[in-house]
Amino acid sequence: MKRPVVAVVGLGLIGGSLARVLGRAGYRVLGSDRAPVLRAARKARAIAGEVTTLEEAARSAGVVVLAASPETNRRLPRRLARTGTGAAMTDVGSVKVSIVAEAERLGLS
Amino acid sequence: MTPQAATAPAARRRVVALIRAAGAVPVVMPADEHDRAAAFLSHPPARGLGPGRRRPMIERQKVEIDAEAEAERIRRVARGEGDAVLAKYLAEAEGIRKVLEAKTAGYEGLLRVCGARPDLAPALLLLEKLPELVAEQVEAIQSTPTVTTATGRIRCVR
Repeated sequence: MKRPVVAVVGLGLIGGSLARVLGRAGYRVLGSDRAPVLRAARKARAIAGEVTTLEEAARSAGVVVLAASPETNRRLPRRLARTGTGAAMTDVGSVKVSIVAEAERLGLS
Repeated sequence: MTPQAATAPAARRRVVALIRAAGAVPVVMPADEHDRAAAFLSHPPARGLGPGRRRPMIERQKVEIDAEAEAERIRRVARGEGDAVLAKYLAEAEGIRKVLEAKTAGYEGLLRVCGARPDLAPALLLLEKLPELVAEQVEAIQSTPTVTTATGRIRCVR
């Protein structure tokens, strides 16, 4: 199976670690975060490129990983739903019920 | 993984591959089950408790820990006292045993001396005790009250 491009939204401890390990596993990883964080992630070779918006991430990647704060993650599916792309969405939060309910409410599948 | 029922198989496969590439083992479960497991693993004592109930629970646990510490202290003191009492009685028992063993050895020697006449043993015992018996008799007689009469002094015998 061809490895899809992965966009990681939020390059904190978990998102940054995941980006780095996926990059080492051969994925092309794009990062989305504040400019200083993106610079640090590029320097650490955790990401291969950057995306400035969630919409751009959805258009550029086959999988979008939500790794922002739980509150932010809950807001992002709505924006992703508007893009209408075929990107798969997943998240690394420890609470799933609320985000799954939001995805179902938005009709994401 | 907590996919929805409507999640496209291709999307699921992409995420599974991603998880494996990160070195993890994907496990599929319902979202609510995942959250319960995550809560249990992250905060076992406080599972299902809001902030308002955590403080009383922590206070109760503190009281229980303090009570257990006090009970343990009492147990240690009692154990120490019990050991001391036991050591005292053991020492006393050991002393009594030695005395009885010495007496037994003495009686055995007495019987050897009596040879074919073991019936003499009580007489020999009395003989051995004779000076002591005489001394006790003398003391008893001296401490007995006397009455002076016209015919002389009469010693009262109780």
